[in-house]
Amino acid sequence: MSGPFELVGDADAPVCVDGVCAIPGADAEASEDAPAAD
Amino acid sequence: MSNVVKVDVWSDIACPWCFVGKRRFEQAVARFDGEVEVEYHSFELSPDTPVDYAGTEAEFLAKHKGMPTAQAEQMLAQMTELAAGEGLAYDFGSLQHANTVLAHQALHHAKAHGLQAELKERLLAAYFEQGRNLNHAEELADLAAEVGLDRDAVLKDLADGTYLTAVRADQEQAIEYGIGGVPFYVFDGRLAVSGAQSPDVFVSALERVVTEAGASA
Repeated sequence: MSGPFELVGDADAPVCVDGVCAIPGADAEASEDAPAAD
Repeated sequence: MSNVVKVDVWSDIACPWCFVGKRRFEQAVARFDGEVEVEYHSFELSPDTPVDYAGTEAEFLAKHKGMPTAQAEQMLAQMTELAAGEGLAYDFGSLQHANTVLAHQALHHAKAHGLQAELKERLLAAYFEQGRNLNHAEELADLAAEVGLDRDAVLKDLADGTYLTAVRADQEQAIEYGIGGVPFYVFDGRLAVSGAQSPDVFVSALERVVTEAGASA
């Protein structure tokens, strides 16, 4: 984050990046690098 | 001192966390003792998405993101459950995957006419809950008309690409700010929240902006 502001809250909160959306708790049963939904 | 807090939100209508985040943010606004002004900015989550992709959402994920179809289906089921916890009825079975560049232009048209929030909500519901095809101008114009916009004017602006420059400007600003994922919220240009965080986090950010503005006044 390089914007002119202070980032607050949980740094690991769920976001969507490049068409892939992380889902907390999905990692265990997912492949090692793609815990996601679009 | 004014308690109006400006919040700039980068998001995409094809972003499931953005709709969930919107609901959580709305809960925070309801709890906040002050006014909030929200402006949505364009962020194409997956600009390489083909128009009128014929497969299912799970197939899109599997093909374009390199994961087994069964895993994609599992992810969508989990996302559906998470969304239901926020009162949202995601229906990935009927979802029609969309390239969202036209939808973002429609949202800029709506902003210019004072109805951006209304159209944002309508497009998210249309996409995630109602299986509407948001790839095309005609469908977007129908939805825009539902929230009070002039259907023909929307169609003309989409055909002319009137707001494409505004969409690209939003995206360039996101890059400049280092925004890599959405939803992303900027409070009064000073505090930022990344992701669909809890209402408590949003309330805290809103209150802190007001407190700090008062301290510096």
